Amino acid sequence: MSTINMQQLKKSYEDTQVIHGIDIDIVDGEFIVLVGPSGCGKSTLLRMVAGLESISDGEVKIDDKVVNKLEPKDRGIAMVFQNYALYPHMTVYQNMAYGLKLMKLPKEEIVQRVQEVAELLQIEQFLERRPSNLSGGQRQRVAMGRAIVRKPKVFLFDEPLSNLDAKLRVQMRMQIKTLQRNLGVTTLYVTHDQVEAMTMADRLVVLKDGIAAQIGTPMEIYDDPHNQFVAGFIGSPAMNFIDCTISDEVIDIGGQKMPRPTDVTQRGSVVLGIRPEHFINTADQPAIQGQVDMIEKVGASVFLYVKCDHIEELIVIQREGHSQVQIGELVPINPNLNKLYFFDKNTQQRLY
Amino acid sequence: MVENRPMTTFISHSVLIIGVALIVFPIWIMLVASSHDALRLTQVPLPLLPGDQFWENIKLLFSSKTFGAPIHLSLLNSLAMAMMISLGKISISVISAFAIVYFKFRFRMFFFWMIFVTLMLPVEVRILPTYEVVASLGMLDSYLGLSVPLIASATATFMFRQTFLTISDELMEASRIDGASPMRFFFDVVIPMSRTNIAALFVILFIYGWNQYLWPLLITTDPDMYTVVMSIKQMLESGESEPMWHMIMLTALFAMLPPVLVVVFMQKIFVKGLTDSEK
Ligand SMILES: Nc1ncnc2c1ncn2[C@@H]1O[C@H](COP(=O)(O)OP(=O)(O)O)[C@@H](O)[C@H]1O
Ligand SMILES: [Mg+2]
Repeated sequence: MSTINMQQLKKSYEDTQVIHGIDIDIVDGEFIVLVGPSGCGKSTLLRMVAGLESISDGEVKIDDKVVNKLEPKDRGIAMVFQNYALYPHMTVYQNMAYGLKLMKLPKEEIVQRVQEVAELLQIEQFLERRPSNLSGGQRQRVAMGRAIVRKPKVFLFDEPLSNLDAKLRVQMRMQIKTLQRNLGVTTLYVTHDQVEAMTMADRLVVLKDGIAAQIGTPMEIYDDPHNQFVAGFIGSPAMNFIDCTISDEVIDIGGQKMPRPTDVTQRGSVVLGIRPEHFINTADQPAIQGQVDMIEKVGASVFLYVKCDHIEELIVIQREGHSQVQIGELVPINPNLNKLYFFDKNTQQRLY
Repeated sequence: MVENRPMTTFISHSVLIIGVALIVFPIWIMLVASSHDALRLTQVPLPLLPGDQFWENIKLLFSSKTFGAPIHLSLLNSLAMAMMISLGKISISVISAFAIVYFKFRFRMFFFWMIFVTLMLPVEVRILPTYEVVASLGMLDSYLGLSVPLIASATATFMFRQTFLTISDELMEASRIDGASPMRFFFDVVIPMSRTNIAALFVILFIYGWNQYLWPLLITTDPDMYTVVMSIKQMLESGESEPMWHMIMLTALFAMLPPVLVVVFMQKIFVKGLTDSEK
């Protein structure tokens, strides 16, 4: 039974502040993913919870106990590193048993625990091997095993899958998630991959420049992003952002006009956001037209990159997989008017 | 670049053969000379083929006390000095490199440069003050006096520093999470991972220690403390009498053996370390 609470957590290196006051309350057994572009402070935040990085200000509590000053080993955590950090001169067994040996557990218990976890992760046959004789996926599982044998209160993962190939990554993603659910251990998981974040998280924390831009379940964040950054970061391909002006009757996009949904109350110059999957494929009364500039086929669907007059960026539109659209063709751009997002041009906050 | 011109092959092989001959010939002469009796070596032409006195000479060498210290004693002295120097250098430099790489303390860079500066101060340069210090510490004619002033090593410290920098920080962090104290991390991770470097350095330092001449010459007056390298020199200068070439060559042969053995033996560990491919 473990909870984690972060209160106004801050971190500065000399004179640069990299974490600017983060508040997160994590309930027991929750799988929290910290996601954000590279350099936004994900690893730093995770390492502050781990105790590998000192805390400049604020508090981290594990099970309602402030752990700011505790050594990593006394926090009841286990961590899986990006490059696995397996001891190269030890066998898989020794790698997993090392921490337990330092805990001064009796020998029989160590053997039993390692054996159990090895079975759980299907690495029994590698126990006597060195990490250098394992594949990436196997090393990954050993690193997980080393974390699990400690029976920690909290798992911490720092981009654990980023060194695996795409297929293995998808497999491991599911395995980690299943394992975590079965063990019920509260988990903080860092990734820059928004697909990984969406598929694994109970709740997401979207970080930007050391600030939690939004915290919520994956669907909350997808459906209801609080600002332009979150809207653009979550979803693939990213949401289209188009400068536009809203008047009483219409939404004016570079001279081309679209009817204004009646419940949009904002007026003036704003940023319109439309997800690629929120276009309707009908021929009748196209609001705007554009010319297909590039086509990306991913099998189940096709992404059209469309150039429109007076709009700088290409607009990405999703179509079903067998769409026969050709490059150069004129296509209608019909957004689903119920799925429009509007953002303030300056603050980038969501308006509607 | 693979070239197949007979002339190039001929020249490069000749160069190599001459090089090998230059190295092997003196060793051959040493072997030959140590297997003849004293008389034969005073006659010209000098022998180029081994004689039959080898075992006799060995018996004579180990039984006589006419050449200063008995040879087994000076071999032992050399061994003690070389071991103390090489092991001392390794343990001190490995621990100071560990401090410099893994700990953030005040004046860290200052100490780093202090170590660096000692590169410019080998024992030959500071020989008089060092002698003074050793003498006033009462360490003349002792193993400590022979080895301690030679132990500090900037080169080895730098080498270990480079090695440690290649060990990823994640390993240190993983061991911290596993509950290892810094010294545990040092002994359980850093040292095993630097095995091959330690072995390589041991070979170099052992030979360095074994070949010391000037310093032992200065601080030993008791023949029982002479090292084997000194003994050879002493034998050359043994007063009025003719130098005993057969004995000198035999001593030189024994003086060469331990470094050769160390190289041969440690080579196995190198190769093992290299083929295990750990990093
Ligand atoms: N030891 C350090 N000294 C100064 N700045 C650092 C240090 N470690 C990280 N940073 C900075 O902190 C920011 C966040 O880093 P990090 O948490 O590693 O980002 P990421 O989200 O990619 O994991 C980066 O801008 C990085 O440059
Ligand atoms: Mg990172």
